[in-house]
Amino acid sequence: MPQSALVAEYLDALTAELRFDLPLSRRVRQEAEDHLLDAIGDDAGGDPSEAARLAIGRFGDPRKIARQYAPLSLLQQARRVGGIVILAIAAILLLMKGRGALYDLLQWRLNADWLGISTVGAAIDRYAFQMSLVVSVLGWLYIASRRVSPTLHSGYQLQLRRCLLLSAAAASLLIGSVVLDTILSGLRLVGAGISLAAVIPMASVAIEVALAGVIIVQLRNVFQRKALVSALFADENADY
Amino acid sequence: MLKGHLDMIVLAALAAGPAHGYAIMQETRRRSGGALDLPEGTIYPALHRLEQSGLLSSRWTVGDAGRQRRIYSLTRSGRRALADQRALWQRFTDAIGGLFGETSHATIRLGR
Repeated sequence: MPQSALVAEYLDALTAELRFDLPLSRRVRQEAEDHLLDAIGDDAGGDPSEAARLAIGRFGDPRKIARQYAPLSLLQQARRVGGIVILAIAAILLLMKGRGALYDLLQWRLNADWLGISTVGAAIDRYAFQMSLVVSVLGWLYIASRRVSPTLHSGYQLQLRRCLLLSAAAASLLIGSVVLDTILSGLRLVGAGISLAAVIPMASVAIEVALAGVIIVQLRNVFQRKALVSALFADENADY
Repeated sequence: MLKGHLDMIVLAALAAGPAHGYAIMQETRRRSGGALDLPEGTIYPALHRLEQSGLLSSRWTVGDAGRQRRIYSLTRSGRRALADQRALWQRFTDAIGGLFGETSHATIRLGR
């Protein structure tokens, strides 16, 4: 096999092992390629394929290298999700307050038939939102105070699991609040009748739903990446 | 043992100035007289971790061969961390040196 094919095959294997973090895998591939080409170029021997084999051997097993990136990558992803949840909560709070101010301004009251449901719904909505705010802030403080470990030992895995569970709990409460908010807004708009002014609260509810969707996608991604990392360590030997 | 001190080794190799991963490996090997012959791929996760911790900074440049390469350099925090590690290592080697010295004397005394 020619030198370039050997290097490409190795880099493909390394990139595949790093699929839990695609931007990282691109960066590592570029650095590893540069390193291997330097090493091959420095080899004084005559056979380039043999030089490539030696350089690849010295670089190490792709899986073992990928494992060393996992602890930091997972913590960064947990931090990103925690940050997104907090930003989404802040944005939804502004949207809710803005919509409330608009209802007061336009004097859009709820239909008397819906008053009982909406009173209970609004109380649950408020409670879920406040709880999501508290859990997300606590979660963020917990995530931000974690220090990256060079290895994915059991204690560190437990910390990462807690980070993700706190984010997932805050997101679940927030999504519950958004669902209730959507229902209550719908009831209010039905009572007020469809008009051009209704576009503003409808748009703000749509943004809330979109933000909830972003959180769901982010959480799904981070859990998928965590599963990929678990697979990476499935055949872990005594080195780790 | 090397695994536990990899961060310190990388910081020390970069004390002379900015370098890319391959040059760091070569510098480590050269300055240790070949004693620190690490699996070469292990240096990149360490570089990435140290960069994310704020001890190193990096930038892409174009090398002599026209290839893109990432150059790493110590940040102010990195220099401080290296100085701390040096001091700690010095205390450790002094302590172990003293211990071995004491042991040798004790052995001599017991041997009499």
